[in-house]
Amino acid sequence: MLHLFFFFLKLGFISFGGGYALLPLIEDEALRSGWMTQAQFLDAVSIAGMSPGPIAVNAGLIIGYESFGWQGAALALIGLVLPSVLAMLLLIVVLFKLGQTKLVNRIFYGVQPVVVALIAFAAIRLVMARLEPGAITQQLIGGLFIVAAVFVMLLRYRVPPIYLLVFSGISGAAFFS
Amino acid sequence: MRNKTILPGPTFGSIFLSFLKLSPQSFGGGYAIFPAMEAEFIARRNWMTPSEFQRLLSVASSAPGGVAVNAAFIIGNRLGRTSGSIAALLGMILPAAAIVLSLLLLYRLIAPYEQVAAILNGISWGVIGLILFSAFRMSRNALRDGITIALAAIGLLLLLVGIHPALVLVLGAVAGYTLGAERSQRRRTQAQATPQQPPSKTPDGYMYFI
Repeated sequence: MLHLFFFFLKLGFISFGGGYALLPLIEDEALRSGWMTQAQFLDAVSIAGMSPGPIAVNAGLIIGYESFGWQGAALALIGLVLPSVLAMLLLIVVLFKLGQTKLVNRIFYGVQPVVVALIAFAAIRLVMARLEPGAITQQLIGGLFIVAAVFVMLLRYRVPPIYLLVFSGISGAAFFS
Repeated sequence: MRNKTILPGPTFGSIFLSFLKLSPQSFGGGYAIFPAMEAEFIARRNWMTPSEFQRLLSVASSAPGGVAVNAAFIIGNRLGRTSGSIAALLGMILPAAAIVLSLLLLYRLIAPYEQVAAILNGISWGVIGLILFSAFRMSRNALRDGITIALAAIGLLLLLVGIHPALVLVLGAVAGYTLGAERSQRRRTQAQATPQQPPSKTPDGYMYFI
C-alpha cells in the first residue's frame, strides 16, 4: 500500500500537461505491480473519463480503491495532490516573489513538445488496446467515427465534453451491440 | 451589476462553495474547466481581473501535477492565502472523488449487461477523441518552430519504441535547456512589444483552452 502511495506521489511530481499524459505510466505500473489487469485498467479509464475531475486523480482513486479499498483511494489521492501543493507553493515563491523565469522558459520550451507526444501516445495506446482480435473492422469503423465526431464537435462547435461522452455512449450502443 | 456589489468577498466558505460548484463541471480533464472558472471568478464573483486570472492559470498549466488541482490551489491562495488554498482544494476534490467512487460501485452492478459494455466501449472511444483534442490544443502552443516539432516527433518515436515516459520528459527538459535560450529570449521581447497582452511571467503555459 505504501508502494501505491509513493507511486502516485512520484507521478504527481513528474506529470506535466494534465492527466492524459499520465495514463501510459499508470498502466505500466498498475500491471507490473499487479494492482489490476489490463481489462480492469481499460474499465478504470472509461470510468475516470466519464467522471468529472482530473482524469489522473480519478484513475488513482479507482486503482487505489480496487486494490486496497478506502485507504488505498485516500492514499492515492493524497499522493497525487501533495505534489501539486508543493509545486504551486514553490512556483508562487519563485515566479511571483523572485521573478526568475528565464530558466523555466527554456525548460518548458523542450518539455511541452514532449508533453504533446505523451498525450498523443496515450491516445495511440488506448486505440491499440481497444482493437480486439476478431472484431477489428467493426471496432475501427465505429471507433474512428466516434473519435472524428467528438473532435469536430469540440473544434467547431465547442460542445461541452459531458454531452460528447453521452453521444459516445449512445453511438457505442448503436455500433457495438 | 447589482449582483456583483452585493456578493461577499472571498471567505473560506465562499471559496469552497465556488470550487464545489466548479468541480462537477470539469469533465474531460483539467483544461476543460478553465472557461467555467473564468465565468465564476471574474464575471460572477468579480474577485480578480482577467489578466491576473490568466497569469495564475499559466503557472498552474506549466507545473507538475493535475492542472485543475494546481489551478484550484493557486487561485485559492491568491483569494485567501493558506485557508483559501485549503478551501479551494477541498471544494475541487471532494465532489469529484465522491462521484468517481459512486460510479465505480454502480459500474460493478451494471457491468454484466452486454448493452453496458457497448456503451462503455463507445465512451472510451469518445475519451480517446477528448485526449486527441487535448494534444491538438496543446500543440498549438507548444509546437512553435522546427525544433519543437522535431522534439515532439522524436518524443513520440521514443515512446513508441518503449522508452519510459519520465525519461523522455527529462530528455525534453534537457533539450529545451540547451536549445531554448535564444527562443525564449525572443518570445519575451515579442510579448513586451505587444501592448494589449499583459507581461505574463510564464508565456509558455497559457491559452490551451481556446
